[in-house]
Amino acid sequence: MRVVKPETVEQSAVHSLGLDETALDFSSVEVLAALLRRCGAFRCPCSPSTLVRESMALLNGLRDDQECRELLPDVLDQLVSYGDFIECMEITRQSQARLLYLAPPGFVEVAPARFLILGIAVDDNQVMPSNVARLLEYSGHARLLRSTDPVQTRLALLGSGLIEISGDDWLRAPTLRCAEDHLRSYASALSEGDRPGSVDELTILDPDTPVRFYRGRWVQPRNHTGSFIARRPQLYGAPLWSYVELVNGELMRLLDLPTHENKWRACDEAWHLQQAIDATRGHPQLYRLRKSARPTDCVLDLFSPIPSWAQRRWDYVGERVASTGSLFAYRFDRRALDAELEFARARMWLGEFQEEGK
Amino acid sequence: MTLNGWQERLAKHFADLKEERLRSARSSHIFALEHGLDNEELASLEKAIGEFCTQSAPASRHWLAWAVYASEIGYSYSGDEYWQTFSERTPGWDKHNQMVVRDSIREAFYRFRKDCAGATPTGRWAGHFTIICWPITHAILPQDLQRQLAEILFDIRHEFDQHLLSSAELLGHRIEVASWKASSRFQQFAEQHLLVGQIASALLLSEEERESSVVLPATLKRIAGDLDRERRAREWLSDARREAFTVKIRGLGRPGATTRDHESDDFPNSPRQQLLRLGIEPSLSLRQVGKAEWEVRLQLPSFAPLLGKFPQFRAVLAGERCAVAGARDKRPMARERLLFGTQEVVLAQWPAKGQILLRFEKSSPEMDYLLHTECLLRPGPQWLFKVAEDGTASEIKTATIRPGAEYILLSEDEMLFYSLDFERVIISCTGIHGSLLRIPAVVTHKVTSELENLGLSTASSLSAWPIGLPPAKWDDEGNAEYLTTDSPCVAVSNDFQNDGMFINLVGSMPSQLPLPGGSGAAPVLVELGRLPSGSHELHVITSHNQHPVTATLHITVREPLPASTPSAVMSVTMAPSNARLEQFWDGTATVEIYAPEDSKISCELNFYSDVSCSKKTFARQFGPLAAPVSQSAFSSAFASVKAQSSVQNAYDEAACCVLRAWSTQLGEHSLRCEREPSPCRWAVKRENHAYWLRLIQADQLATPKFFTSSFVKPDALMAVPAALFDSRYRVPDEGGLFTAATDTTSCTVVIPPLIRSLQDLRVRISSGQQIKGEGTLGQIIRSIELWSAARIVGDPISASRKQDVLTYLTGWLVSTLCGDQWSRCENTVDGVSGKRRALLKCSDMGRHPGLVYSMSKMEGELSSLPLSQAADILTRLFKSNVSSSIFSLAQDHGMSSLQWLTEFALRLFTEPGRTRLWAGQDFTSGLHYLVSQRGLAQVCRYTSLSRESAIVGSTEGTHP
Repeated sequence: MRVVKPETVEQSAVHSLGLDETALDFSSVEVLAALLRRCGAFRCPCSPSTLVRESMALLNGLRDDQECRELLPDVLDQLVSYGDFIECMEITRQSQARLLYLAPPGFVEVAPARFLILGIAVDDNQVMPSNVARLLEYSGHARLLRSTDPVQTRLALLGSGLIEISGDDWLRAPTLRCAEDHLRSYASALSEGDRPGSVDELTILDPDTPVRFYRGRWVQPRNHTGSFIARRPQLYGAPLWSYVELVNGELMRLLDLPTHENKWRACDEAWHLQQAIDATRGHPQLYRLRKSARPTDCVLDLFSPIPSWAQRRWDYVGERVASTGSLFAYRFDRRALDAELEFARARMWLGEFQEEGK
Repeated sequence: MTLNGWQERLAKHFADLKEERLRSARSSHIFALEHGLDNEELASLEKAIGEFCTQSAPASRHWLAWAVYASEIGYSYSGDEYWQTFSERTPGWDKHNQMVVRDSIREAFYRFRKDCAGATPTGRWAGHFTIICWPITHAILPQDLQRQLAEILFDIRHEFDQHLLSSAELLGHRIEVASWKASSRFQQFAEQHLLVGQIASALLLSEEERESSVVLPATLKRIAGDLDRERRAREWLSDARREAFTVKIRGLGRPGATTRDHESDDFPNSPRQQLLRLGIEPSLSLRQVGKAEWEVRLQLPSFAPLLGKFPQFRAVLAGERCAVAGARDKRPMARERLLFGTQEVVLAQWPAKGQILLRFEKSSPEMDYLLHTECLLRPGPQWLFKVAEDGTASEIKTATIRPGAEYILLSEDEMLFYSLDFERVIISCTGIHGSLLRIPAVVTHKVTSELENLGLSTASSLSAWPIGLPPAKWDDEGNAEYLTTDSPCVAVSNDFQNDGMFINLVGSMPSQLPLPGGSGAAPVLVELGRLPSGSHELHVITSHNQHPVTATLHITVREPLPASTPSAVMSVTMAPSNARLEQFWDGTATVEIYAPEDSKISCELNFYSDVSCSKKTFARQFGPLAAPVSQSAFSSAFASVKAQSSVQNAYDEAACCVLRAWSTQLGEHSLRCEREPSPCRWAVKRENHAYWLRLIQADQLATPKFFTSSFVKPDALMAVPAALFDSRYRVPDEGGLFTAATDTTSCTVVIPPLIRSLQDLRVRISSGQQIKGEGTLGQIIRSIELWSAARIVGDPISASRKQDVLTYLTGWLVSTLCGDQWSRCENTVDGVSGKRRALLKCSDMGRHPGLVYSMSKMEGELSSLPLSQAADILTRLFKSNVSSSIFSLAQDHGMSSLQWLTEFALRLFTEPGRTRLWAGQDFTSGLHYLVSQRGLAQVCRYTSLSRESAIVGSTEGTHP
């Protein structure tokens, strides 16, 4: 037993979480993701807010800066999208609460020599044999396994009890359709909605604001008229997502998201719908291409959140990397780039951002 | 080497072993599996046995060779096919008289016991299988039981201490208690406490320690090696070994370890304190359901630890559903749910003071006493809950509040507050009121005083919290749990000037840390280092204004759970959990699957011819089913699979079935159920448009007699020549009941008729008895006993015919005891209330309006209470409404004769197949009295009908 400095506590915790304490600390997504996974291994099933609160409490006296704390909810979102946690209604149906459950340990073979590792074992145990676990790479929220002997690696993973999830199952995405049709289906559902009572503290995603600054797009309704993605606070838990119709800032109709209760998360539907709204208004959400440090690769910057099914695909095909002047970024092999740009344009109706002078 | 040579060699080996055991005084038992032969030598022995057996029956001079050989076959035993395996592996075995040669095997083991200090089989199982219990006992741990033992050792690993590990008898007893969810054969095997305890303690020893084990090290190595072949068993055993090893290292010198069984301050052992240690006290929490509305949730802890102290409660805890007082969902909890982790129940009504929270359908007085003393809410009049940010509030049993926090105070009466900041909240539970209290960051004297008046105290400002690495548990009230793989760090802070602080870690790795005084502005971060599994206490001692301030953190350190522990996102439950294959098939065992809504769950039935599930005979997939899969949804999907004749055939032949449920992203769960082991059973096969029967006997001690009974005259039993069953027997097209019986055991099966036309679906049942009366009643009841105990086969017509027959025979019983008019009324009037009116009208009960009125008032209790208690109520009603002198003929059974007769009648109508067992030698006289008491019979029949309709109503569903 000894008195230690905060840096020592941090290094010890990072080491215990299975990461390299000489390279990473609590400001990195990798460590925060591991912290959430470990915390979830003990707490789940629990609400997302409980998990974030308990993880945040572990930073008291260690990292009191807001930056690191604000990252936690976003990292948890990424882990849910990725498939480490399953968010659903309480499975025993004792309440309508949406809870996080641990996804069982599994893997997706994304290329003959590349596996994505998903899920969390009880007590956050390392399920894989140590010789395979040594090859594990942490990249943001994702865990990658590169192997020179994919056949043996696959057998070792299966032998350790990991479930093999086929790429098709993991990459399940909504039906392909144009932005207008997508918007029309929600407009029709909204028109059938009842007029709600008064809703306090509603915020909306204003489509008239620049698409490259996501946080700046959220505003209080003033004299807005039209249909908008909105959020409203609830007493406990994360704010609720909805699609609303306003006339001069007054709420006329409200459609709670998700409409497909158990297929996608509310935020997935909202972000996808906003992509359709922006596209039909002639200001599609944007991506930006830039060179990577590796000549064989290319980096795609994104300025708005994307639905989980798109995140999964890009976790599958590319790698999440540090972003510069964007919300987040993915690195792709140049050979895969055309297909991914087509995916971005056809499924999410994104357009390319051309910087002035280029 | 000839068998003479083998005998000589083995005799020397076992003589040496016996001498060595006597010298070391470690164990007085030797097992035939401790032969010390390697694989090559075993093959050679098997060859010599085969060569001898083709020439001659086993000779008594080779008794050791035969004992070793028979034990080797026992080692691969996996169910009821011991002699079949023996015959397949031993050339010439079949040509000898089976009764003689099997007896010679038993003789060989008798000799082994006498000359080599061999182990003796004990327990119920040994009494049942009097020959094969010898080779299987001497196989030490047959392969099919190895995994189950490993799992149980893993489950009880936290209870290992020097005391438990040093007594094989005690360890064996503990294993038996924990075997409630193992297969029935394992449960029977586990009754041999000393043997099981010896095996278990030997398996738990490390490699080096096996040299001094109670079993030959080479034999233990072999068993451990076989266990290591299976990943899950390996994990379980290795964790259990680690725990045992830890205990051995630190336990030997630990003070107080030997005083465990004695009263002492350190290990208080009074019954009350033992109960407290079991931790079955329920707790409360609140969950916000509206802006100012909260619901009350009752958390019921796992009752599994109770089985450790009170194994006799197994029948109630595992076999009975239980109702929760005040629950919003009125349906009883499914059987065994209380044994599987914490259960949460929403309360709609606040339980009354002293009200027992749980009521099992059929309880025992001991269980009721325990629930009455331990399973209550803490006495009020207030209950304090701390509000968390996620809309939940957990009960603070210490009634201590912390500044700056929010609490909900529940009370039976509306409370008044003066200086406290409060808000009334709605509690969606009648009988209780709630107020939200906002405690200021700085608590004034006025607030402190008001809190004290409310019976609440304010907390010390010395606080600690986990930092960096997440603990497995941290309840903010002084209890934490970490893993042995963690290096815990805690932050300690106080908000006052102190003169110094002393941190004292107490436990198996004691340590002290003195700290200089300070203002307490910044927290002190303390690294505890890796701690061994067990309990530790961290005392923080400081002073404030010369007043000592102390706080204690109780830290439990445990091994991580095995990585293969299933995730909670999908759960497949079968109730009862150790259901037999027959129960699973006929629907008396229910299956439910919980998973995220709309997940697609695929199911597969796998049938095996052996209980160790190594020989798969058939597999059939069904589904996918949309989650959550309720009992009825599963049973409807299962029914369509059961309707397939190939599945029925597989079921009829199977010894074991594994239900596998999986989803591509949620993983898979398997449930296993096996046939009840019995000395004999029917193997049924449908082939070439006919049913074929074969009798399988584990021990052929006596030649069975065979009988059959038709669906047309189910109470007439006819003998069938035994010679017809020498090989397979072709069942006549009309089917019927077939039974094989020896003096000690029997097995019965209902074979459906072959259906060729719609007419074949109908059956006109009649009785062989011409006159209804006391004389024929005994025969009818015997027929009911036979038919109700009969196994059905896969074809659903088997079950429906069996039910038709039982309905007919029960009708005969009712009409004999209650009269023809009553019987006609029961059969012609539909609907519960209509039937009730009609029955009252036609019965003798109509002459006693007071009795009828009282019965209708007590109908709820009469329908739900255990039979003995229902009989007690009926007796009291009789005594107060009807002259009871007519019942004075009954004998004295330690209770009033009227009460005995009432319970007898109630049982006869409710479970006629088991009443003889309950009544024992008084059965005939009881029947005699009842025949002359039509009024009593009618009242009891009426009550049994009410109970039936109540059961039908309540089995519409149970809540999870």
